[in-house]
Amino acid sequence: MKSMKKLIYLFFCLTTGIVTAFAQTARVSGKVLSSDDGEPVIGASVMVKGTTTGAVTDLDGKFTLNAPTSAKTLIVSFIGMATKEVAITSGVLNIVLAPETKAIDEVLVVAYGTVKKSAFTGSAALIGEEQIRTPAASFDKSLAGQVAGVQVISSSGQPGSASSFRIRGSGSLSASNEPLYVIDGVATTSMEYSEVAEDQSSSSNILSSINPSDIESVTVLKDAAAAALYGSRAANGVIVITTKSGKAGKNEKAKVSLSARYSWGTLAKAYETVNSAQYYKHLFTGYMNAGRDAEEANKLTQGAITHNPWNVAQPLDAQGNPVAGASIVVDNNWQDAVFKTAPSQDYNVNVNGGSEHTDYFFSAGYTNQEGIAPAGNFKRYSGKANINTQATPWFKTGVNITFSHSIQNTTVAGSAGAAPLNNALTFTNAVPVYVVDSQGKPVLDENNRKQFNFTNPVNLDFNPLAIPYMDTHLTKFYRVLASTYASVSILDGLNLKTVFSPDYISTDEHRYWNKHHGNGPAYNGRLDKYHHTDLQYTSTNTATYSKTIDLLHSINAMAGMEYWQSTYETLYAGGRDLLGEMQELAAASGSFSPSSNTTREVLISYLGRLEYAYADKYNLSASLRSDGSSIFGSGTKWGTFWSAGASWRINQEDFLKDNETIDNLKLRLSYGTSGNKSGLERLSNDLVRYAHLGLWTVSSDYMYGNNAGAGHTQLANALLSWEKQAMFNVGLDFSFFKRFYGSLDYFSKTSDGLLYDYPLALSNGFNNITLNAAQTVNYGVELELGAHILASGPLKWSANLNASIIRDRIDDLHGDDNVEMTTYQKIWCVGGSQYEFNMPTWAGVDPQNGDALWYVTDKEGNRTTTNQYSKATKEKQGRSTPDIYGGFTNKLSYRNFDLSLQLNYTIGGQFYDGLYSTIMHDGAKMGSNLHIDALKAWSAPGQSTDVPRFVTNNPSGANSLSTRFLYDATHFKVKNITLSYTLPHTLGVFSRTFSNARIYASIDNLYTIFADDYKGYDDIDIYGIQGYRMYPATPAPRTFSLGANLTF
Amino acid sequence: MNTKNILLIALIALISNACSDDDLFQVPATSLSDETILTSKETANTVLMGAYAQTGDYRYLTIGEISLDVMGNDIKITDGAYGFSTYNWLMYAYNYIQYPRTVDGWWSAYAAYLWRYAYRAIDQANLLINNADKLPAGCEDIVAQAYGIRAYNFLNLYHLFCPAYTAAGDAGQGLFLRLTSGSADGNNVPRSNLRESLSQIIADFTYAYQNCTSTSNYFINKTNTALLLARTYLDMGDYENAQKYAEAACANFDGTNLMSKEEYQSGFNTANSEWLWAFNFVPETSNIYASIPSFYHAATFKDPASTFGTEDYGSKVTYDYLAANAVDWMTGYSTVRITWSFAALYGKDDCRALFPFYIDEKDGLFTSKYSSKGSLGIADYPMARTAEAYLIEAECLVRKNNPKALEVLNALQSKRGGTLSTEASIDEVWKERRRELYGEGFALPDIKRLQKPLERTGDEHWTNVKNLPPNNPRMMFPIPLDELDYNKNATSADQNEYWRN
Repeated sequence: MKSMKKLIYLFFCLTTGIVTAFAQTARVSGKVLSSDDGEPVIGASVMVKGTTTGAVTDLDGKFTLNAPTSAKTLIVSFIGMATKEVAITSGVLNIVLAPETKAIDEVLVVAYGTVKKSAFTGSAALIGEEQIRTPAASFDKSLAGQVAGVQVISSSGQPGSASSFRIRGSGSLSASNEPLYVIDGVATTSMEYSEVAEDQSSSSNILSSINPSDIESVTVLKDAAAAALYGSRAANGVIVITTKSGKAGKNEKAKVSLSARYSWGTLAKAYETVNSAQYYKHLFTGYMNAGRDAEEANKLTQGAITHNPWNVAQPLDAQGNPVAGASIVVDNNWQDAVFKTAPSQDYNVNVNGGSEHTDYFFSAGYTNQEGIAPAGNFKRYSGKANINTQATPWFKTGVNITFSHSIQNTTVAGSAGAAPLNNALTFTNAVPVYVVDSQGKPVLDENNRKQFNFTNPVNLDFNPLAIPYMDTHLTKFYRVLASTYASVSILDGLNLKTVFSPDYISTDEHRYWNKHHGNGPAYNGRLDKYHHTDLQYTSTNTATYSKTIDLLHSINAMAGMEYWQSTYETLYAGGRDLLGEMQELAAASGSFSPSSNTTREVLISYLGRLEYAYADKYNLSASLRSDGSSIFGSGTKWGTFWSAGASWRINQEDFLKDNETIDNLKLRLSYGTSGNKSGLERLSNDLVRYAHLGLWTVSSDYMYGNNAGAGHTQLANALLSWEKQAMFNVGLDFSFFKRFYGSLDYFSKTSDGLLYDYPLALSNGFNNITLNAAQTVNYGVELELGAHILASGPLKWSANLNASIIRDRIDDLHGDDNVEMTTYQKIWCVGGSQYEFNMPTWAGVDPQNGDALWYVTDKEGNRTTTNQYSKATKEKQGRSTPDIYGGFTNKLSYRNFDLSLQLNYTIGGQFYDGLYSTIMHDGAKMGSNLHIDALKAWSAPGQSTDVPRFVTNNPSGANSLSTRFLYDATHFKVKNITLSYTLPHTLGVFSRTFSNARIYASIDNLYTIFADDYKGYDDIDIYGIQGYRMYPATPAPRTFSLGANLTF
Repeated sequence: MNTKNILLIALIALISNACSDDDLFQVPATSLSDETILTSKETANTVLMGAYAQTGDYRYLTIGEISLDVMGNDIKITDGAYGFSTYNWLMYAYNYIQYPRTVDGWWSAYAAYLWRYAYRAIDQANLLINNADKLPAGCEDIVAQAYGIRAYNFLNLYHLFCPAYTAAGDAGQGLFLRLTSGSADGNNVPRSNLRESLSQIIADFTYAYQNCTSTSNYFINKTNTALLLARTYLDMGDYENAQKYAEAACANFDGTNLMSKEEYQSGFNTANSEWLWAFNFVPETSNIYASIPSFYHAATFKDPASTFGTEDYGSKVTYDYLAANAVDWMTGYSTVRITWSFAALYGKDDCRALFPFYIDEKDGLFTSKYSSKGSLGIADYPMARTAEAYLIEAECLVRKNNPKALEVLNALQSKRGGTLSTEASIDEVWKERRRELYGEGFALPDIKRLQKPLERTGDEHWTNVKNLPPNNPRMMFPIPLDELDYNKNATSADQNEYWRN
């Protein structure tokens, strides 16, 4: 390390042309230290203000110079640090330089190139490496709350699962609202590739094939000026991922970084359910109230539970009191039993460096993440190589290859019998885990082992502690994402570049149902094997020209074409009647029809961009792209998209140039168009790549007996085309007192020709047809504020707050209005939000008879209550999307300690807790578990309660969809706390070996405070953007991590 | 700069011929288009098979057939307190709770599913019927079967969604008679009246009857269409024609063409000669847990010593005993129960009284009428049986006061080992229909057709809906709102009365 410092020192001595020697001088000496780590700054330039006299600091950060006696001030500067003016005083000066505020002059990676942030006309956010540290397998989960205008919902804590992104709201109705992902310049996929995970109501995430440790930065392109160059794929915003690379430089020495992390995930909070005695008595009382005698009621209760948790056959007497000698012998909380502490490990090593013309970066990573739900886990092995070389002064080439192999075991989610979380919620404490005798003692098998109990009233032949480990839901992913380029400089400023990027994604999946219990016995064991491959490649050829004239006019032009193709091939084979426990098809004596399919999609694009800047003050940009897609019919294949943007750096104007207060003031303005068809790219649907054709699909779903059959699966629609979006953006960036900074943006986007699943009368044989028929508007304000609250001194504190206020409105539904979208219980009205809940309004419980009541509005508009659910009036109940959301980040440091604290908040919005409704069934689901709130059920006339009378086999629909289970989503979440300690550089041999060493501890998802009286899991992301879910998904765990980073 | 020039040329070459617009025209590998699907007999047949497959979808066939039985007097769904959970399946239908649109669970809104799959089948049949003249030679039977499938689905929709023609008459609310293949133009048909609806069904079945050439009883053929025509005419109260086609379906009524007692008792799962139309489920297409046997069957006997006719047959048993000793123990949902009052309608030796055991008096009896072939749900399902022709014949003769009615009735009864009727009356025939056809979807349609009240007697009925007067507007499903809201030619007045606002 020393040798490098010496070199830098030499370099500075040579380049800064130091002039010394004057008459009437005084000797000034001092030391320059970095505020970052208190270490000496080597090679800092120290100049006497108003002269050419100066010096460069030496290896110890020291300098000595002879300044004219008239001189009063020194100017101290160093690359990457804020230049400082220091008064000359007698004695040795101690000068501390602080790192330059990074808000200005960062380079942003944008569409097909980079741009200086100061000259940028669009709206984009840069997220650095620090901010994407996450215990989750993929970086996307960490972005929640970090960027204004970006909403990230991770609807499952399944390791490796997907999350939903919304950049500036949701323009689309039927198409996807997920952004485009661009990795190192290559537009890539975020499709669901796992058939097994999707079948189990869970998900996988192809983004988790990218090791977050390999990511250097993520840029979120939000407006048209930033994103429109991606044309038909840009309407939902673009997420640009830049992976790490080496640094070229003369004899840049190799640097090796190691990191390791160990984490423990736990469930933060469970639903509070009744115990065995409470549950038993509740049902018993219900049967008594239905006119049964005590003996019958005991029998029926045990029949409904399928088990007697008491040690005697007739435990309760006619008054509902336990008889003498009766005691509970089975009382098992299934949620406690099913959720577990999940350990995870993550290790990474990378080597990077460079020589004068070549830089390189190699990395390898391993992560192994356990889920808190049974059998869920995710493992990834990844490797990366990135090499770039300036072969000749005019020719540059490089290759960037990422390989990853990941393995996901998916916990069955949703309502399936095999779904352990649904079982955990709905199995009562009175159902034993193991087969027990009447005294609750386990009945052992011939090998003296406990036997799992598969009898329960909720899911016949399932046990959430056994089935997940007896069955298999395995997905193996293989991905090679490569990119090679060649770049030639022809003339001064003219550059040609060709990039070829294959992306090969392959999955091998394995679903096994054992023959003994659960889903498998019906088949005497079943095995399904899926093999899917997606070979995508992108070929991009661009020419760029840049020229600066008279130091005032700067021009940057780019033109190019791109070809993208994806060939997706699937192969399936399945067998039944398996031999023993064998999990291979060779062991199957019966089989299911094998199947295979191939689909292909092609996109051909022509694109161009022009940027002009004048005097670093005025910036203009324009882009144009024309896309042709194979998805659409011959008349609608091509679409053209464009954008124009301007920015004005007001602080560069003469009237502000010398203003000491204002460091930066920039106004941005942009308008442009983009497209979307991403709902038509779902790979699980074979047809969407041929969306304009009327289709009849041949598959085993349409077989009759053993005869091949076809199903009418798609109506012809020759006019189908892109969704088109137009976005206007105005923004202001500001920074003052070198301490406060921020930006404010207003945007409005109109989405037209939306792919709309126009509902058809069912007698058509189709539920709907996808038309370009609807129009929506999204508009909103994004605010980002930051401050270096304590900047000098050993204790430093900086804070950052972001807030987004985004609204959506439906402007047209092809002439329809008030369309009920029952999947998520929404109503689509012209003038309303697509997230508007629609359901009967709960009117409480009739104190006289305990009936559930709902509001009903008659034809005259009179609003009264009814106890008949079918008569209740559905009413609009507010949106599932928040009024305001964002994050608040604090960073504190004291000497070698750093503390960061991230709080996310959501204000407003509604969500429907279907899980709670399931365990508040008021007798509608006999044998199914109850929440402790069920004990507040109405029991006597005059009683005021919000829980209706418990009625056996309750037909009243009391727990049916209504505002009884609708909650305000307002909450504050302590998303992450990280405390780290950087080892001092004075540790002798250790410090000489390691240039940087850091250890840290962090907690993710520590705690959530809800404004409403919500009873459920600590993670309401599981309700999704639609705020509606009837069956549990794995909540994001509370994760405690310990880790270390080492660099040498 | 030689290298540079070469590279440059290579680059330009790359740019200029990297792609061709032809790549923008891609065709699917496993789908046929509206144009290509009808170009060969082989592919046209896949459209027909698809129509059968939709007809057999569990959300339609299983739910529909069982609903039509458990909405009657004789069969119920267990309430879940006797060891067999209902998992909500069909208990709402039994309980007469149905909504015109899904609220939370689909169990309370079967209408949309029944409707959807019926119309999918009809849509596929329509494609073949509409393009009959463009089909290649040799497709005549395919088209004839398409008529039959369309008519069967319309008839089933009539049973599920309409009032009885015998009560509501010509002007009663009928079907949405969709006769053209699906299109996006909102070319929707209005709700027709019962006269038009039943005439359409008759016309379709008649076409099938006149043109079907296949003889397999897995498919629509001349014989089973005759019986379906008889069924439809009976629904219409046209006893003349009902009798004519019953006789066309069944050459004689002396009992020789009925299955033996052993066949009847072997558990309905394999088509025999008495099954004029059997719906064919194979391992690949079986609905497993959502199949009809899954809801009916638990075991054939409670143990090997308690076979049919023994002292112990039909006696009480515990769940645990069954699990340990039962013969053919194959539990799907196993939630269908026979009421005691219905079981009492059978004579001691009646081979159809397949009620092997019960768990609790208040639960009712299990039945073993349906079973699976080795693996749950793999079983043929009877869509039309010769026995029904006997019953139609008998009823028509009764209505003509023809004394032969008793002969026909007795022929069936004697073949089954049942008690012989001493006089034939409409009620006597109805009683026999219940005994013979339970579990085959006739209970509710017969109550409606004969304008009987719903009378659920006995402690084992746990529902609040125990009695409904004749012609009650609840004796049908609501028209799904997804039809009424989006059908340009429908109004809220087209909703069935009970669900109208």
